[in-house]
Formats: sequence, C-alpha cells, structure tokens
Amino acid sequence: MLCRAICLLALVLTLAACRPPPDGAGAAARLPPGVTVEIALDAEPRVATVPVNITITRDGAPLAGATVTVTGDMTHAGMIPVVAAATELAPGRYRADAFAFDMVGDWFITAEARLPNGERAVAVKMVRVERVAP
Amino acid sequence: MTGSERIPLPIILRQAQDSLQPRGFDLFRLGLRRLVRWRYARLAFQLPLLLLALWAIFDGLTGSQLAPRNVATTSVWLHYRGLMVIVLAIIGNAFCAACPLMLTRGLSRRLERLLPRQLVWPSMLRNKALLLVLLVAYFLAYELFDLWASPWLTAWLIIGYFGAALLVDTLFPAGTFCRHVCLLGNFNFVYATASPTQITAADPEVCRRCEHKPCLHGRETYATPPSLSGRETRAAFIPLSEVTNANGQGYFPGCETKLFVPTIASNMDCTYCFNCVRACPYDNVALTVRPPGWEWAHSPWARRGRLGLMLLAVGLAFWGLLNAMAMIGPYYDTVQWLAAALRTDSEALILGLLFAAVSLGGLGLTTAAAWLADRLGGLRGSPMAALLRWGYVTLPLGFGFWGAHYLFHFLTGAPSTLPVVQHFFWYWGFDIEPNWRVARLVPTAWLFPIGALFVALYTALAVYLTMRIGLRDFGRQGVLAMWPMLILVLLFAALSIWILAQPMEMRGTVLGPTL
Repeated sequence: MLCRAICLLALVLTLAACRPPPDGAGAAARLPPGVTVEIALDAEPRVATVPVNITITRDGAPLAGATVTVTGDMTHAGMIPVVAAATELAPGRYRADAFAFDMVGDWFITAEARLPNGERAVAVKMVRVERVAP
Repeated sequence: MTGSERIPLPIILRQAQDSLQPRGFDLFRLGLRRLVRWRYARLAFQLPLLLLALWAIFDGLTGSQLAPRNVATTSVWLHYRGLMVIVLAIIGNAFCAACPLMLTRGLSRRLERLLPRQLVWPSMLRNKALLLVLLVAYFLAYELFDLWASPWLTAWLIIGYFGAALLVDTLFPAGTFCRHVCLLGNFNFVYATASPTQITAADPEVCRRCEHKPCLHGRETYATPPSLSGRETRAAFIPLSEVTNANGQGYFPGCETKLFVPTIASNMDCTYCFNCVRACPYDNVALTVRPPGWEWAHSPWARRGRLGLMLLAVGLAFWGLLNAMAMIGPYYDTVQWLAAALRTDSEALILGLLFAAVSLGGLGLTTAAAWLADRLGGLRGSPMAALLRWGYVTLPLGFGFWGAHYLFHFLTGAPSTLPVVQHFFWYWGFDIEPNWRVARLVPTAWLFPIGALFVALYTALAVYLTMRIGLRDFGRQGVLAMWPMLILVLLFAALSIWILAQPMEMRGTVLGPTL
C-alpha cells in the first residue's frame, strides 16, 4: 500500500512539474548580439527547386562576406536533408539557387552562416510543402 | 518462487519428450559460452544502452526540439528500429538481451519488500490480450501526437517505459512486464521467430534426468548446503561438486518468462537474457543456429498463447502496412475523403476508424483465406482452428514489410549519428559545426531495390511456409488447400511493393497544422 502510494505520488508530482516546451523552444536558432538572419522563399513551397533568400544584418546594416549554407530537414528523423550553399548577391543578401524540396510535408529550413569575424549565426524557418493536385 | 507456481514434474517431462527443437551448430562453441556464463555479461551489454537512454532523455527534455537534430528522436525512431530488424534477421533478439529497462530490477526488488505481499498477474491477462490493446493505443498515439516529430514526447516515452517496467515488476512477479506489457519486447518476440538462432537443450537426455530444472526455477550453489547454517534458499540448492564448469557460487535466477529449455519450441517470450545458461549446472544450454523462421512450420504456439499470439501476429502484419501507408499520397486522399464524408476534422476519429477497418479487415481476410484453405483440404473445422493452422504465414509477411520500412529510414539516415552528436555539443556551447551532408548510408536509387528485395525474400519464405503447412496437414490435397493462403500472400506482397514504390509524403499534413 505504502509503495503504491509513493509511486502514485511520484508520478503525479513528476507529471505536474513538467510541461511541454512552448512552440519554437529549442529550435536551434542562435544569433550573435545585434545579428539578424531572415529566411525567405522565392516561391510557394512545393516539390521542386525553390530558391531560398537569406538576408543578414548586424545592427540594421547589411552584413557582407558571410559563408552561408541552407539545410532543409523534414520533421521526421531519418529523412535525407537537402543541403545547398548560398552565394552572395549583394552585401548582406545571399541566395541558395539549388535548394529543392523533394517531398510533401512539414519542413524546417536552417540557414547557418559563418560570419567574417568567425562567429556563427543560425536561423530556422518552418514551412509546409503542400500537395499539388495533378 | 512459491511451490504452487512450479510446473509439475510429470508435465515438464512429458513436454520434454514432446519437444521439437532444431539441431544445428551451437554458437556458444565460438567462445561465447564463457562470456555468457559470466555473472555480469548482461549488465555489460545493458550499460551502453542505459547511457544512451539517459542521453536521449536529457536531450529530448532539454535540447533542440527539431526531431532530426535530437538524440531522442534519431536514436529511437531511426537507429533503434533499423538496427532492431537487422539484428532480428541475422542474429536474434539481441535488443531484449541488452534491454536497459531490466536494470530497474534492483530497485523493484527493494520496493517489493515494502509490499505486504506481491500481487498475482490476473489469469485473464496471462495472454497477449492486454498487449493487443496497448499496441493499438500506441499506434494511434504515434500518429495522433506525432511522437516521431517530438523529442520531448519521445523522452517521456522512454521515461514511461522505465516507469512501467519498475511499477509492473514491483507489484507482480519478475518477468511480467516483459511477457505481458512491454510493446517493444513483444514486437521483438513475435519477429524473433524469423531469427536464425534459438535456445535449445544441447542434450535433451540431460534435461530429462535433471531433477530441479534450474533453467526454469533458478539454483543456488555453495560449497556447503545452506541448510547447515539454517538459511533459507530462493531456489534449489545444487552443491558445487555437482556443477559442470562452475560459474561461481551464489544465486542464479531461472527463466523469468517461464520457459523450460528442452521444451522451447519458439523464440516467443525468450529475451535472450541467458539466465538459463548461467543457471544450468550441467552446461547443457545451446544457442542453436537454425534456418530463419524454422519454427513457423512447426506450430510452435499450439501450447503457449495460441489465439492471442496469432492475433498479435496478424495484427502486426496489417498494422505494419497502415503505419507505412500513412506516409504516401493515397492515404491522404482516403483520409480527406473520409473526413469530408463524415463531416469531421477529428483526427482521432479518422485514425480510429482506419485502425478498426485495417485490423478487422486484415483479420477477416486472413481468417477467411485460412477457413477456405481448410475447406479445400477437406476439413470442416472452425474458422479459429483454421487461423491457428495457417496464421503463421502472416509472420514472414509482417517481418518482411516492417523490415523493409525500417531499413528504408535507417539507410537514409543512419550516419546522421555524427552530425546529431556534433549538434548536441554545439547546442551546449561547443564550437563544433555539424556536417549535415553526412546522412545517407546508400545511394537513393538503391533504397527501393533493397526494400523490395527484403519483402521478396520474406514473401518467398511465406510461400514456402504455406506449401509446407498445406502438404503437412492435408497431404496431396494440400496442393489445392494452399491456394487461398498463397493468394493472400501474393496480394500482401503486391501491396507491400506498391507502398514502397510510392513517393513518400511526410506525416502531419492531413487534417490540420502540426507545426
């Protein structure tokens, strides 16, 4: 009886103490102070090549000279990620032309930038690739 | 163990005489016997998995909540499942052997002492009925709560497993959790029937002469009898002088899932814990190599489990199809059609209806084919008897498809271990850049051929098994009797290949936002 009561109490306290992480928590985004990284798609996400535009600023000014890689992952572990290198079109503006969604479903796009001073900036954007009726 | 729980000796002896075990090379001869007989052998295999489980819980609760970048989701839904089918196909139930959940046993024994008495597992649940209910609940929860996409929920699933193992084995006799509650273990049990190894008696005559059956009940061994010091023993005392190749003194527990070595006709319920090897005073337990699926043609569940086990086998085969179908376009079309027809946006309702349809449809189809096969063979028995005869055919079908499905994910992402570990350290402040280009194990073009080959291989075994059962039970008339089951096998295989050939769509886009 005592054991059952202890187990039940421990279970209730543990469950009550833990809440699910809020939306976006631990999304792996990490930006140095003053740095912003914006991710935008060239078109509606679909199973095709959809170039990804990255805009990087530091204290509001375009940040040139970064090395940027765009990675697309599905929400399921074990799917092959899509990785594309971005080229700099203009100071602070980068574009991954070869980025291609290869599956319908929920994706998150990660832009990882190595800044000229060696710092790393990582931003994440969630998108949904919808089915297109044939 | 109390005297009333022991299996009467005459029954054991009769079962031993009836035993049907494969005779083949004993893998323990490769130097494994010494390792397995070591008292801490299992612990040595369990500790790495315990550390991995703790790491997965930690990262799942505190780390990045992006599933492909978290240790919890990648280790559970990608690596564990893929490695599990590979190991089952080429070795045996090694994951149960190294199960870290059993490390709760020390704590459960301490808690057990606080109980006024240990409870008895209800007789109505001494089958796989509870597991069937739990499996359906699990598969529904998997889809409904997107467990695969949530490191946090995956971590709680692992914690839940540890908690359930502790609770069940505290309140009930050891082994109850493994045999009647553990979903992972029972998935392994069902498909370990496909494995090319089995625990057997090296020499059945030694077992017939054995008085105390220590492989079943355990033994205690000391230089002098404990009775001289007035001490009670937990199992039969066997003096050191009687023990062949003594592996130390003390208490050696027997089989927790109540298997008696010379009567083991199936890998069902065998956790490969090798307690029997350590407990046997005569070094008479072998790990015999056998043809994969050897037991399927020998009706191994006739004495142990029967209908419950068969329902589990049939259910798992068809739930495997549904689990994979939930990642292809036609499934979404069906779901959307159903939602529109019922004017509902309740995912739980739609999933419940689909599971009911697939479960009842799969069972109905298998039973109908089996019953028709019996009729064509000239038997007018009940549909249940027909299912118990032919139902084994769903085992190779189910294993073939689950294997192809899990291999697909494993092959597309196994090496992601490296960037996921790198990401873990990056997340906690180390200057490490994860290399996400490391992901696939084989070229994408190979994925379908490998999956299809796996399905084809086990379909061939299912065809062979169908023919064996037909000819075994119906003689020449079996050539006619086998056809309904052969058609079922070919339909299942065609559906399996069709599913594997479909372009994948990720779960979570059906009835509402899941982001």
